[in-house]
Amino acid sequence: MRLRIPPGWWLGGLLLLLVAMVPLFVFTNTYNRGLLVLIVIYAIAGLSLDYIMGEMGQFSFGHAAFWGFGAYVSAKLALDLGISPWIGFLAAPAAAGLVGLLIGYIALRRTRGLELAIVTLGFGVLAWTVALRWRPVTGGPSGLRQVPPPSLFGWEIRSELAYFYFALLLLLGIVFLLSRLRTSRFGRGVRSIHENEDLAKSVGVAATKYYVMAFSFACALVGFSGALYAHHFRFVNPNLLGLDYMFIFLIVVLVGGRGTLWGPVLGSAIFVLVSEWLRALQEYRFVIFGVVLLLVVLFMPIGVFPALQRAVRSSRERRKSGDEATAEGEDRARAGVGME
Amino acid sequence: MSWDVIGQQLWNGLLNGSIYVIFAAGLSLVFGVMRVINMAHGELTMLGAMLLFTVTDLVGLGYFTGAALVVVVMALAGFLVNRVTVRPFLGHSELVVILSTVALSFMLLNGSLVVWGSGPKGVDKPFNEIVQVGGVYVTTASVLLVGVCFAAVLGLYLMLTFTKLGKKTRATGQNLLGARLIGINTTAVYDTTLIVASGLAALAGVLIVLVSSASPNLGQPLLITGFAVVIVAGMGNVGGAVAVGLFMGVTEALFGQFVSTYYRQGYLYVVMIVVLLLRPQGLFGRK
Repeated sequence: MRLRIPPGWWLGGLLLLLVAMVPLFVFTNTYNRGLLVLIVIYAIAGLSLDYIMGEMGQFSFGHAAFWGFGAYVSAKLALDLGISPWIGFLAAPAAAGLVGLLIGYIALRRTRGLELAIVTLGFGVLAWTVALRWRPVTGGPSGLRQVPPPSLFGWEIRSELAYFYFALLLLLGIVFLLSRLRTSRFGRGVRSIHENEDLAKSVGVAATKYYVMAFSFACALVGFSGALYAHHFRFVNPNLLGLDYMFIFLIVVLVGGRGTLWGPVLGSAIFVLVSEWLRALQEYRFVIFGVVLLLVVLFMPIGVFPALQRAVRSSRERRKSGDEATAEGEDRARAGVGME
Repeated sequence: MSWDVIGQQLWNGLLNGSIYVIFAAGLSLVFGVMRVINMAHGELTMLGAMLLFTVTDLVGLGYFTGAALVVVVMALAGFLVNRVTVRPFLGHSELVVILSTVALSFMLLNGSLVVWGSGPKGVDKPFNEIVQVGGVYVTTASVLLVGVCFAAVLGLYLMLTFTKLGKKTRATGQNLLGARLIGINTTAVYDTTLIVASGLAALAGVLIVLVSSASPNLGQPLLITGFAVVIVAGMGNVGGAVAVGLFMGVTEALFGQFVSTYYRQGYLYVVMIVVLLLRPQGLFGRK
């Protein structure tokens, strides 16, 4: 029983295996493989936003700002100081995490829920303004170009395929890390605050401290995703900190499913592929995304991934027979409801 | 530096501040009554401006007829905003409503970009003479703007304070369940709240074109400024939003003149963050 793989992992793992095979058979040209890289990068950003939305039950409208900030930090280090992107990959989350710690400390001491959403929006837009205006450092509206790709033993990871596998490996590591974090003492503490903050405090969970740390962790993770973006697409500009990307991450989390590990991964794949598919519609596709988001929130508030999980479970239960199996199935269904 | 420059910036600040006031009043009203953050408020203002451009430039109505028509139509659209993007989501968490209004704002913004393109559109002003008042240059259109803003806010204040509808609205904002218990039709209150707020947003839109041009991109920055005002004032506090809106407008103009034009907008967020640090409930909020 101890070694049982958590149920979500089967589905997610299978999905990931399929995704890993995709560039070999389906997405064979460079452009399409670039989309795959984008899926992985958005998935990591979505996972980090989901840590705030799913685990903390809070919302940050400044999340894209941390994404862009991580991208700028790593790009800046590589361009100005000639520091290897590998160090940038560490420096970006460190910097984003530190800033997240500071902002989290300011914002989370008193504000929760709606207030927190607006406060983080303010910080995000402030960061965007600075990126746009502080020309000598950020390059102004056109941003920074020619960001170098990372290299391994003198070999630049420049091809889409290599970068995809590299990023996919990191994504797997992050999903694993997150799954461990959820069940750790810290993760359970964060969840307990989400469930009932006063109760959590009364049993000795340092609510604000935990939330500030969790927020900072999510910021570090999204900063890392930003650095991955910068070194692959090889540019950064102020738009990366703006509301457009915030909206993309939101779609990724909501469509995939809040509070589920694999949800944002699936959501990211859906978003990137559907938006590519709708490319011919040009500007109209953003209107369509708005409609889609509204419909998803309305009709599938739990997201696609949990809905799939439920479908798989119920079909499995139908094949089983006997009271015991039904009882177990009911328990599982209830647990599924509780996951939300 | 001369007094004329300061006077000019005070007037410019008053102009911007009036728009912030009327914009933030609607935002704050919706939050105060419904505990809903309407992320589409900025796009409603934008739509007001763009629709005015359409009815004056393409249909050929005069400014005043067009403006009145647009405000009425947009106010009625507020009913739809409530029924489509707010009411179905009220049972869920507060965040879900934010997301649905984000979706609405995204649709409106990108839909407008498709319809009107991203370029700024000028609207013919009913009159636009430049008057010099003691070294300060003032356009007659901007005087109209300030006057209408104050009239609208005064009207809102009178409505909330003295009419039966206003009392019902305040009661609903204070205690939803209690209001229902004493027989207030809170659904109707929610409808009218969004109708009034959308009307105010559209009014801001038709007034903005008196001093600048209409463009699909004007909503987002205004929304963020509106949030800064609402947060500094204390969320849901309409009266506070009026005072803070004016203060922000004036100090922002002075900041732009004497400190840095580049970081003008940044100034507002810094004020917001400092206020949050020192007084998280806002200047006029009570804990």
